[in-house]
Amino acid sequence: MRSGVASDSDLPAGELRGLVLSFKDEVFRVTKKPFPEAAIDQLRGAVMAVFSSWNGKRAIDYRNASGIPHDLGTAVNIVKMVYGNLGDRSGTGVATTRNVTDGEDEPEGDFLMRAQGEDVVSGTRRTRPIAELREEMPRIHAQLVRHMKRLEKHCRDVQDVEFTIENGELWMLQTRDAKRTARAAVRIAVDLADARRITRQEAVARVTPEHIETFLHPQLEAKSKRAAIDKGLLLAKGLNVSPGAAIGRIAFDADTAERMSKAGADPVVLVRAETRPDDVHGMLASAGTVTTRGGRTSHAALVARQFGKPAVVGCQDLVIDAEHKRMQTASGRVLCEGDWLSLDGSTGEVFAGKLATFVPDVQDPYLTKLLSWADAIRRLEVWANADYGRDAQRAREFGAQGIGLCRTEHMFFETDRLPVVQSLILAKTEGERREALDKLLPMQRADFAKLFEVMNGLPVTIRLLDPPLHEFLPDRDTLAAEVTDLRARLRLHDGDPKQVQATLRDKEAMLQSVDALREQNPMLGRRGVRLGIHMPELVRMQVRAIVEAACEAVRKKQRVSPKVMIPLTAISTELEMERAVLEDEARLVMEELGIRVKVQFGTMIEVPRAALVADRIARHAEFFSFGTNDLTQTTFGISRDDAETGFLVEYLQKGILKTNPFATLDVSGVGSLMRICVERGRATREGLHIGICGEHGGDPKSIAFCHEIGLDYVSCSPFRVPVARLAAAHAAMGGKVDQR
Amino acid sequence: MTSQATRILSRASAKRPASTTSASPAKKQRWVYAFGDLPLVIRRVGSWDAVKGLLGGKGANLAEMTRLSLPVPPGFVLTTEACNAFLKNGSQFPDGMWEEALRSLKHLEKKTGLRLGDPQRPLLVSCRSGAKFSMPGMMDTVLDIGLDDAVADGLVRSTGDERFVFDAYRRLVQMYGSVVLGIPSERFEALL
Repeated sequence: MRSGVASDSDLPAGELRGLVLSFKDEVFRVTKKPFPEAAIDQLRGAVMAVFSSWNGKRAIDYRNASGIPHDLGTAVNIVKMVYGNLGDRSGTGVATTRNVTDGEDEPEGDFLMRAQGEDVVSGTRRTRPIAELREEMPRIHAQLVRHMKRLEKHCRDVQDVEFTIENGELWMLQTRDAKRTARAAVRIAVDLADARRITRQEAVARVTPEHIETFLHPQLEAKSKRAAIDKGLLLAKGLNVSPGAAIGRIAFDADTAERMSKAGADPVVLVRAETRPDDVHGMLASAGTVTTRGGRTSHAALVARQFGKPAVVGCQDLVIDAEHKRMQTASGRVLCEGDWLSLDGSTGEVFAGKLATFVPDVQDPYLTKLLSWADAIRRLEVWANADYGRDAQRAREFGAQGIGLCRTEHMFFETDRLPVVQSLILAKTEGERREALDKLLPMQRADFAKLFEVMNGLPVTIRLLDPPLHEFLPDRDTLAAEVTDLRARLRLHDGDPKQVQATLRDKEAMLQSVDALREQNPMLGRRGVRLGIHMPELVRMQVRAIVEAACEAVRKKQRVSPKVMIPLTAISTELEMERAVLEDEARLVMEELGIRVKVQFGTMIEVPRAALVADRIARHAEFFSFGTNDLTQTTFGISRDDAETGFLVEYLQKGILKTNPFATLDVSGVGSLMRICVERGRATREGLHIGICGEHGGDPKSIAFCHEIGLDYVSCSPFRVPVARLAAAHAAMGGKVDQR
Repeated sequence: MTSQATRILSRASAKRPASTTSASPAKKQRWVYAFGDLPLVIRRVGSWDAVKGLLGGKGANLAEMTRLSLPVPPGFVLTTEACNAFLKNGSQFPDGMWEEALRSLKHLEKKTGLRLGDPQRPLLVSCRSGAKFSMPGMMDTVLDIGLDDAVADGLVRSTGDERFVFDAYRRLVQMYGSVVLGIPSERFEALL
């Protein structure tokens, strides 16, 4: 930009002569030495300066931020100058061999006649689209297109070239693999493979899980972005640490962000110099976060990624004046609290104003094609976690090959069902309990019937009720306060005494039950299989619902593959007992209905003991599924909720942990248990079918590990299924991923 | 993964002695390569990735375009190894490095029929950094090297474009001033 000021100005030659003199005077004034006249000294000085710049502060900061090793060094290129500003038949430009926004096979670029390279890049002059070069200099245009085609073919990828025309002669000054949007990356990979320039395997390797992820997040619209850049609204570029676009009104502190987000209809973007643990509530209340300091492992970056919020960190060009609730950009523009800001967490750009966004189409035909190639490469099956028919539907659209986890508790929390569930828990007599179960049975049956219908013969793994029962009851403190309040009203004759009395009785009964169910550590208490052992009627009802729905499907000539999954097993005997009860119920139902259905019974592996005694557990389980969220908690002995809102970020920053073990599997600890479990389980039961249904099932690094230890499938949220399909293919290719 | 890494390493180390014997007279370190030397560089370091490591991304790509016979302005590269040796040597050229660069400059002059600092037929060059990984805006560039008062006047005569020549000249002083001598660019802009 700096030299653009003058290259653009129409200073007459005489004034330029004068300028050279005054620049030289300035050099003398500052350095007390004359500007080196001898050309060879100029060259020597320049080479030394470029070498030395490798250890300049800017370069070191950049390498630290982007993880480039410090010992690589830089080369120096000495090249004969060619001039794009030498007469009317000269010019300069940049071009890509294809459109790098949408991937279309059409060269794209900008050029200027009578100009030098910086003039095109700096935006000081209005550039012309490359197509116009055809009219301006048809021969040169043809040459350029030919060279670009040649380069793309030779480099086997889309190229980004710089060229200069000097007096009617074309010179190529640079070529490199072009940067591209995720959408373009997918289309280009597919097109190149279809044209047999690269193999399908290479095409799959060239698309990263991050590319696929951007299809799932809102993005800033390219056109809107270009217009914003032209209008000078690009405020800063920082590090792209958490993908997706966020648009909102600026808040400069976490409390204000939270207040604005609660109060207004408009979203908020939190802008801070850096964030700290006490800013997390503000980050969560905001659509996105921008910081002026910090790198890829800064607090803001870690937290944003953890919660899937877009973020740009380390925008050094922004200076925040928190006291006056405003910030200033490098060019002097001032933005205040409440002003609109748009950020692109995928590219690190921050814009003033409200840019247009779009959600990329995950059903994009190129993506669909690429993923079908990935499917042909991978060995791991990809299943989805889905609780309802609509989730299952989406999962299938995204390519899931089964349901690895249907959490039945979510069905119990629905507003019309919760009172029934509560009366079941509060039942004093066998009759009351029976009555509640009879009401729940048809509801559950309908849920499962829907899943079977959507999945049409693909495996459907249904986990029996897992959480501690108190989760279905009102909060104890609230209840206690209500009881106290009602007693006081009764004493003070406030309201209809009969009615108050009745309410009080209900609440007291509820409080009593809550107290009776109270546990010191509910997450390690009576939950999972223990619940089923304690209250067999409940899980019998669930299995009845599953088998009745399955039989009904068979009657309707549908195919079904139900799998009953027992949670939190730690002792082979508890699984043995539970399974006997459940199989008995299943047999009863089939006898009643006179239909036979194959139902599998298996267990989750969520505690270290289960992994260690997998040989014995496998005697009673037809499949295993790793619940790695709980397995991580129980292996580390830390609770996820407390860790992620508390000490985890500190551990990451201090380097005690390299990654969040709840996001990426802890291969050395939790992974060892998994390995042992697979080995021992399959020693008892050859070919035991084993999968994973924690959130790790959608994480590329964790998927690679699952592939390595020989799991049969990963199960993740429906939205992660496309990412998992690609990651599983990469895993099968031995992690040969091409980062472009 | 480890076994794969060792395999690659052993292959590379197995190759290195062979290549040094084949180029036995030039046993000493080489710091500078012309764009046209790419086949030699590939023979020396093996993989394309290693070529990029040695010549930097920009240099490797310019050399590659030269090999494809595309119209690339001629030039040469001082390698990343030269950079590291320079920095290790207290930011001074180790013995022989600059002389080697001057020999490459001679070749460039011969090839272009121009000479650095010659007012009749002056060679002007750019000097740009180029690391293995692109570090946008982080490294430095000096353009129009080779201009002085006599060369400028010579160029005005041959191009007939005084504006062009003195615009290039003032860019050189400004870039050299800021990149090499560390004078803040704003001080020049204030004079504009």
